[in-house]
Formats: sequence, structure tokens, C-alpha cells
Amino acid sequence: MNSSTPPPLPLPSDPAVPAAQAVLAVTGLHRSFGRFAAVDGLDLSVHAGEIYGFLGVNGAGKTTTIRMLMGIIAPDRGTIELLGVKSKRTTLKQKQRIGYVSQDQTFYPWMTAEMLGKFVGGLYPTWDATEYRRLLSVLEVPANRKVSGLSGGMRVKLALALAIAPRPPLLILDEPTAGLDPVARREFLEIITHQAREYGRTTFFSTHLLDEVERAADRVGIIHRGKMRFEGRLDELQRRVREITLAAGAPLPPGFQVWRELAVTETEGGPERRLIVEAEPGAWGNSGLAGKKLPLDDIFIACVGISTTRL
Amino acid sequence: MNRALLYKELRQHGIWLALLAALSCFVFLVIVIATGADGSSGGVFFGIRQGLSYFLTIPIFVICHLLVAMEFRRHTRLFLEGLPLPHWRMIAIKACLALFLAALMAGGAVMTGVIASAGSEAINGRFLGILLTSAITWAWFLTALFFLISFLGRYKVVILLALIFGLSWINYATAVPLRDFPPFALLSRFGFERDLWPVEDLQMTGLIALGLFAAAFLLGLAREGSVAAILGETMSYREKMLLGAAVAILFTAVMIWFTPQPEPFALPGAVEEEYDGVRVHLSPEDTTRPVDDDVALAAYLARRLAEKRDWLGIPKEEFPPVYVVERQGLVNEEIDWEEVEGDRVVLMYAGYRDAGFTRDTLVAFSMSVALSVHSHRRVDKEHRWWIVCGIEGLIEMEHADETTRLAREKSAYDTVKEHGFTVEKLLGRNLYSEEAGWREADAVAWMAFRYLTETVGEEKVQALARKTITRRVTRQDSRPVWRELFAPVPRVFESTTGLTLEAFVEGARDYIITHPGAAAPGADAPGAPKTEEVKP
Repeated sequence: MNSSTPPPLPLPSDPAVPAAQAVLAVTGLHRSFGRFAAVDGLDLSVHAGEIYGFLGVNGAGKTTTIRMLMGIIAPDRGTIELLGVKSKRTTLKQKQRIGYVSQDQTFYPWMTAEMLGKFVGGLYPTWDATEYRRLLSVLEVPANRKVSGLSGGMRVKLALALAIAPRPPLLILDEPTAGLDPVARREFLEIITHQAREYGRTTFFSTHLLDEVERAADRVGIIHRGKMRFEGRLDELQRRVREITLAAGAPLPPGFQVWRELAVTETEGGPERRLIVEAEPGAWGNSGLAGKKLPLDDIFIACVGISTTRL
Repeated sequence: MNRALLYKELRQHGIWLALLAALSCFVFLVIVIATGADGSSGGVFFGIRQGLSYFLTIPIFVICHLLVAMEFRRHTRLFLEGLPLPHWRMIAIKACLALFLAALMAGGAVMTGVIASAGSEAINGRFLGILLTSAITWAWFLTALFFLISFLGRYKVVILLALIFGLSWINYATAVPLRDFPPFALLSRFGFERDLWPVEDLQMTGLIALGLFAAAFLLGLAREGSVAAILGETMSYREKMLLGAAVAILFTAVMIWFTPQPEPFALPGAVEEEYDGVRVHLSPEDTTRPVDDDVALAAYLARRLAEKRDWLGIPKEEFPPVYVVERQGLVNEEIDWEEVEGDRVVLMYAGYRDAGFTRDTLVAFSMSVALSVHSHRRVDKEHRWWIVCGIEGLIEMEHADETTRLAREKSAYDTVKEHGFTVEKLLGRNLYSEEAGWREADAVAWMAFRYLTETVGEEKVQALARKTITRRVTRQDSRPVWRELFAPVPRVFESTTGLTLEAFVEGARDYIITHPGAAAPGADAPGAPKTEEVKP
């Protein structure tokens, strides 16, 4: 069994969205804590109006990446281009054009939603108080109840209302649905999908839940151990990565890479290997290998190199 | 942005901050009432000084804790980090708010004292300015210190304990005169210094406060990695107890093992005479001449001081050694004094070979300085200094000739006629000396004590002196503070002599005005220029 992490896929260019329209582009981003590289040479780009799912297991480097995008921590190396401005570290003016929902909603417990709006609104020149009140009403967040009295789901909705009220062109959400029940998660995803579709708002959200990405994201970036493993559309990922069965000792056609060796089984014709391999969509046709289409969770597990045999 | 931040802070802590400010006002009002209205302690500003030194640290510490530590402890800082808000500005707003509140409390305390003492203290713009700048700068130093400490998260309590113990140890167990160094120097003359701006102390305290704030900002801006993580944590109860105990044990060990013994004060080439435990050293200016006169003077001084020491009931071993250095050309009765070696000895300068010199004046002044040294300078600053001056007058004039006595009686008469003589002037002795001249005020005190002796008898005067001015005080001793509060001089005076202060002052005034010296030639003519220098 091979449980090592497969080599990263070459990042495909998306001809439908010119690179010039990238609202968020990151090049060679690197950040270490001591000797541990939390983010290691990360490249990614998010295009205008799309919903980008930033997928990775816990500890993959998602939050560190987002904290660098928000200017909370500085990268060791690399550049960040946000809303057309390239910088080493995100500036205050850039932050004023980003709506941000953090992983933990550490609001002041004594504040009501109304007070929070008043406080946060004072920091954004484009703050729309009417929109904030409307959002609270639509999201059914009581304006006069203290934060300490709100449920987890309510707090996330409140955070979203605070993030959207300044009408930012870019929303960055760091695992916003973590800790929510399935109903609240579904509701939240519908809200951000609606926001993105209705107002053309670019949305970048991180998650470790594949179904969220499937449900909401136009494109996905899979990060593992600080490196980008795949960036593109999910259907493209499914076209590229398939499961094959190969006679033991038979070579792989050129252009194919093994992501994961699932099992070796004895058959009448001799031993066979079951593999998850990746190749360009065109290469599959030329190779004569059919390959079995895989559910996304299997691809994701193969992508991040987790061995299921240990379980 | 500033408004939003200020709105947040005030909404979050407004009630607590208002309560703290109100509590401070109340406490300072109590201090003023306790120290001023009933005439106890060393006047209103002595009480305010004590309040600034000890009490003010509590509300300022709480304010800094509320503004800074709570933000870290509740992790609300993470929420702020996601907002388009410069981190330094958030800290700056907190610092400004803390400084404003500290200034408000310190200024309020001073103004309370000013209002309360308006009838008894000569308040002018300069004095008020010195009081306000000293109090506010001190309060800002405290703010900067606690602001920095509030950023230290789990180490806050330990560092605070170490700081308190360390400073206490330096103050009590070493010869380092902490009170002479800024920022403590700002308070050591608080309420007494009326003319000279403590410019150097203010500058140095300001610089220290700036340095502390800079360190606080550095810590506050460290948001990444282990520093921020450590600072965000709080100590467990067990950790607090263990570390607190460790600091206490360490402090005790240091106090026991490393208390330095002060070097004895020495005056090389001095003549030394001892009488019944009183040692007098006389250092002549010309060491080549015969020292018979010096020996005689030293012996006289020792004998008279021993006599008066016993009259006052001071134990032999407590009486400080007396050093007299011959110095020519001194003004003011040819005698001067100096504070040396942490108040352990009496050091006098006297032109004792001059024609106008009188030995009894040197005896009286030496006893006066000895009482001051014996009480660690407390007796000078409190409402009992007039008793020392009265006793000093009795000693000085004990063997005086008729001419001298009449001249002093006249001086007392002139002073009372020109400047009046009230209970406030009696208790506010230093102020009265500044107004009338210290020798003139001494003459009034002498006459008042003559009157007292004649009215109630020497035994009661002796009892009064023994109860009020002869108790030994050290820097470690806090009992005098309580004595000032619970056994104020007016109460002791009344219980010992059977007279109220008002009746005593009224009687003394009549006694001075009707005494034979008052009838001396030129009694109603303008008096001689008042003495300029103020006695200790």
C-alpha cells in the first residue's frame, strides 16, 4: 500500500476566465511557524464572481492562508494580489473591501447585533446600515438580543450579515459552517450561493467538507500540508482521476501518475493491482484504459494521501 | 474609526469605569475628611499623597486590566483582527482612555484637597500647578506600568508580585533612597514643595512612562506565533498559588539574608564627648589649634541633651549621635543642619566661636533635629511640629538673660500682631513660618509653651511632649499613620492638658500680647525683616 502524498497536479488554466479578472491571486505564498511550514509555496487564483471552495483536512494550512489573505499574519515569502492590488501584506484599504467571517465567532458577548453593527459600521466607509438591518431581518437574527444569547447558527448568520453589509466585492469565509448542524449548514450555503449569484460577489470559503464544495463551489482548490494539490472544477477532477485495475508488473501508459495503490488481488490470470491514477482527460482516450469514475470523497482521500488501511 | 473604538470601550466598560471613578472620588473625600477636617495627620495634602501612593494603584490597575487583559482573555482580539482596524490604533485608544481616566482621578484628588484646604493652605497658581502636574504624571506612570503588565497575560500576577516585593525590599531593606528617584521623588515632596517645579523628576517620570508604553505596544502588536498565544492565556489557580508562594519565599529569604548593615557615620578629626549615652562629636575648622573649648562645648552639649532626652523620656539607645562641624559665616543664629545617611545622625553646622553664638541655641536646635531624625522626619511634616518648636524654645531660653528674653517676647508680640495666631496657624506650622519668618514663629511657639507651662504645669507639658513627639519611627514602621488617624494631636492635647486647642491658642495670644516684652520700646513699630530661611 502506498500512503505517501501524490505529486501535485499541474494547475490547469481556465480559458473561460481570463487571468486579468482574478479578484484574488496568490503566488508562492509561504509561511512557517518555527520549522513547520504551514503554507509552502501556495499558488491560487479566484476569479470575479465565482465561488471558490478551499478544501483541505484539518491542519492543511487553510486558516493560515486565510489569515495571510486578511493581513492578520504576514507571509514569509510570496505575493498576494487582492482586488487588483499586489502587496506583500494586505492593507487596511483592501480589508475595507473584503467581507470576512472567521472560523470562531468571538464577538463581544455583551453586544447586541445592533451594537455590533454600529461598532463594525464605523470601520467601513461603504457600510450600509439599511442593508445590515435588512440582512438581520432576512437571516432572522434578533437585533436586540445579546450575542451571548444567540445560538451557534445565529452567530454565523450575524457574522455573515456583518461581512456583507459593507457591500464588499469579495467575501472570505474561514470554515463558516464548522460546528453547525446539517440544516443550518444547508441554509448558510444557500445564503452565500444566493449572494454570489444575485450580486456577483466573489466568494472564497474554506471547508473540510466535500459536500459543501460540491453544493456551492464553482471551482475548488485542494490544499494539503501547505501545498496546493489541485485547483480547478470538480467535474474536471472527476474526469482526470479514476480507478483502474492493472496486471501486476504491467507498466502505466505515459502521462499517467499513480495517486494511490488500493489493493493487490489474486485472480485466475495472476495478481492484479487496483490503482487510483490521474491523467489529462485526453490521455484517457488515447490509452485505451477505461477507468472507473470515482466519487469525490474517494478522490479527495487519494489526493491528500490518507491510508485507509490503517483504520 | 476612533469614535467606533471609543464607543466600544465605553459601552463595554463604561459602568465599571464610572464606578471606579466614583469610588476614587469617595475614597479621596474620606482621606481629605480624615486628614484635614479633624486636624489629624500632616495636613490634607499628606493624606492626598498617601492616597496617590497606595490607593490610586488599585483603580488604575483595574482599569488597565479591564481595557487590555479582558480583550486577550476572552479572545475578542481575534474578532478585531479580522476588521479593517490598525492594531496599534486599538491599543492607542485603550492607552488614551486609561491615561484620561488616571488624570481625571489624580486631578480630582488634588482638586478635592485644594477645596478642602482652601481656608488653611495658601493656594496659588504655582502651588496648584506643581500639585497637579506631580499627581497626574505619577498617575500616568502607574497607568503605563499597569498597561504593560496587563499585556503579560499569564505572567501578569507573578511579575506584579515580584515588582511589589522587589520595590518593598529596596525601600525597606537597603540604603537606596528610592523616594529620591523618579517617579517616587514626585510624591516625596508632594504638598510641601510650593515654589520649585520638579522639572527633572517630571521629565524622568515621563520618559519612564513612555518607555513602559513602548514596551506595552511592542507586546500588544505581537500577534503571531507563540508570543501572542502565551500572552492570551491565563494562569491556572494552581500556577498562581505556586508562583505567588515562590515569590514570597524568595522575598523573605532575600530580606533575611541580604539586609545590608549601614556603615557608621564618621567625622575624621572630631572631638568626641559622651555623657550618659549621648555622644557628641565636634569637628573644629582649624585642627591645629588647642581643642579645650571644643571639648568643653561638646561636653556641655552632651550633658544638656542627655538631660532633655530624659525629660522627654526617650530611651538612651534610641537617641541619635550628634555631629557638629564648625563653620564660619552662617546666617540664622550661626547654626545650620543637614540630613545625612538616611536620617541616622544629627549633623549640625555652627559658627560656635563667633561672638553672637549661644550654646543653648545649639542645644535647642540639636534637640529639635534629633527629634526629627528620631521620628524619621515625620514630626516635621505632621501637625505636631509646633510642639517640637515650643519645647525647643523652652530649652533655648532656659538660661537666657533678661535682654534676650524681652527681645524674644517682643518678637512674639510683633508676630502675633502682624500675622495673627490661630489654631490653623498653630497646626500649619510650616506655613506660619513661611509667612512670619521661622525665628518669629519660634518665638510665638516658645511663648505659647511658657503660657502652657504656667497654666497646666510642667508635668502636663512633659506628658504632652512624651505622647506626641518622642516616639521612634523607622521606615518600616506604619504605626504612625494609624496614630495620626486614630489619635490626632488635637485630641491628645485636650486629653493630656485639659485644654482645647482653641482655648489654648486664645489664652496664648492674650499672654503674648499682655506680657512685659510687649511693652518694650517700639512695640507697635514695624518689626525687623523676617528671617528668610526655613528651619527643617
